[in-house]
Amino acid sequence: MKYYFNVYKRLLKINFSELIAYRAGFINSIISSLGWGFFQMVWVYLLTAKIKSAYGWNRDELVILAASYILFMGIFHMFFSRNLDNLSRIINYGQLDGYLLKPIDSQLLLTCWQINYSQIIRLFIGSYFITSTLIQMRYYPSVTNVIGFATLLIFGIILMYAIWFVVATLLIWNPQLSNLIDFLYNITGMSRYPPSMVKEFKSIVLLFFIPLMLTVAVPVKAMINKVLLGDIVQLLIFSIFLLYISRQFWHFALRYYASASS
Amino acid sequence: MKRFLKIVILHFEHVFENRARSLIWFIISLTNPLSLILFWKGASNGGNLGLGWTFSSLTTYYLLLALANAFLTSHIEEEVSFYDIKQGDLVRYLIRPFSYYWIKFIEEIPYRLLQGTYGLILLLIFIILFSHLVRINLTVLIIALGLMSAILAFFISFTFKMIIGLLAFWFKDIRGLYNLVDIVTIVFAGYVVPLEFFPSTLKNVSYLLPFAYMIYYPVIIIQGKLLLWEILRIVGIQFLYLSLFLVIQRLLWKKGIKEFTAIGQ
Repeated sequence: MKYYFNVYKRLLKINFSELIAYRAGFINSIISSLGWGFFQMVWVYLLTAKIKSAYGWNRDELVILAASYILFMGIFHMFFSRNLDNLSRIINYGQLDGYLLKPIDSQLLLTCWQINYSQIIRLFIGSYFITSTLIQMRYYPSVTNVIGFATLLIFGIILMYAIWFVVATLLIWNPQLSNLIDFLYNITGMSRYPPSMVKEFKSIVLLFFIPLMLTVAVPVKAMINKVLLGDIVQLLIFSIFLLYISRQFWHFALRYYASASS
Repeated sequence: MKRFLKIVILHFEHVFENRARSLIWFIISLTNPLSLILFWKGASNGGNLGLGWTFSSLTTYYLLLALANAFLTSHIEEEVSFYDIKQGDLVRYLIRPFSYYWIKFIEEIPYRLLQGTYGLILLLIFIILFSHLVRINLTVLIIALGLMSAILAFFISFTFKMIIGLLAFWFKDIRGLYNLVDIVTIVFAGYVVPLEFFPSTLKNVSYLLPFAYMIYYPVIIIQGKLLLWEILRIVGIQFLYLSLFLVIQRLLWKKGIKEFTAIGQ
């Protein structure tokens, strides 16, 4: 475990050095993160301009959900998404061999290699809008609410990571479908809506989205004191179970990896 | 004409080879309209939303938006900037006896037709399964004007994206700009909500910008929400925007090609 901590510490340093070396790219990413962060807020303000509530969530709660989504995605994009983005290229060009040969867990190496520091801007935007909306609501969360929010957010990130990794693993069989990662970027947007939106429909296709929609909504419910024990249990079970599945699926998929330019 | 047709057919073969990839692109473009339909189902309680919009007209709007997006929204900017200008693939276009603009246009058509076909299939499935939610009152005149507006919208979208791509002649990394253009397009082309739902200032800004003319108005025309004189005004503005973009594109191409180093930028 200590070995992995040391490796990760080294990765943090390497990525920071890269940021210093390629400052223009960093500024570009900051602009883009700023844009997407504010866009999420414009999105929710436009969507809720003519309504008072949706699926039991009032307007302010929907705004907090969207702001928490910005915060959540900031963390997720900072640590994981860029790595999964690269996975398709690594598989397609037969570079996976090199990663598999290294004396470190391949899943960890492939999904934690790059850290996108520019996403930190989303954390500030998300936090700002969460705080300002809570103040506007005249609701002041207790320490327990905040700790609950933070803890459940971590489980949400584990769950999101597991979903992304399972889908990205499919690229072992079909490396040309690199836009599966774009698909993931897109469907992740479902987590800014209330989960009851898909639960109410009871459609088999939509059931796939339920874990995704728990990732942000459950921590937000904990923050605004609306969380039920069932919500927490669902999130914990899904995150641990899917993390386990993602790992098993990766090892299973590797059996089918045909090496260079497969 | 025969030569152009041959090139289109050749590109069709290429696009069909990657049809699974194309299907995923289509599904990606579908996620947002479908999630918004689900959202409005709960937000509107199936009833009236004001400003002449009901849940069923909004569902129709988002479905037509998905269809229009598949048919009309060009995505050439990355290919132009990254592969052609940055990596130097432009060289192979320069030695061909066609203008770069038109060859790219021809390359784009098979993608739009395939994705548009996916969109049509989806719309038909929706009409069959949820006929009460899809409200389209088509007349010959509306179809004709809607088609005219849609063709102009595609040309505007294509030329605009070409302009964005050509900026790579001067800028090293324009991914930030792409993202900003995407964001502004999503908001002002009505991907979130119809422009009528916007606060008045934002609504006025959206009428001035070109984004609504690339996708929003063809959808609204087909939905039968505009009067004849309004449609003609929209088509007129589309002509103006297209002319303006064509001039800008020509200027950028003429100046930019002098910056091109033939081994990539």
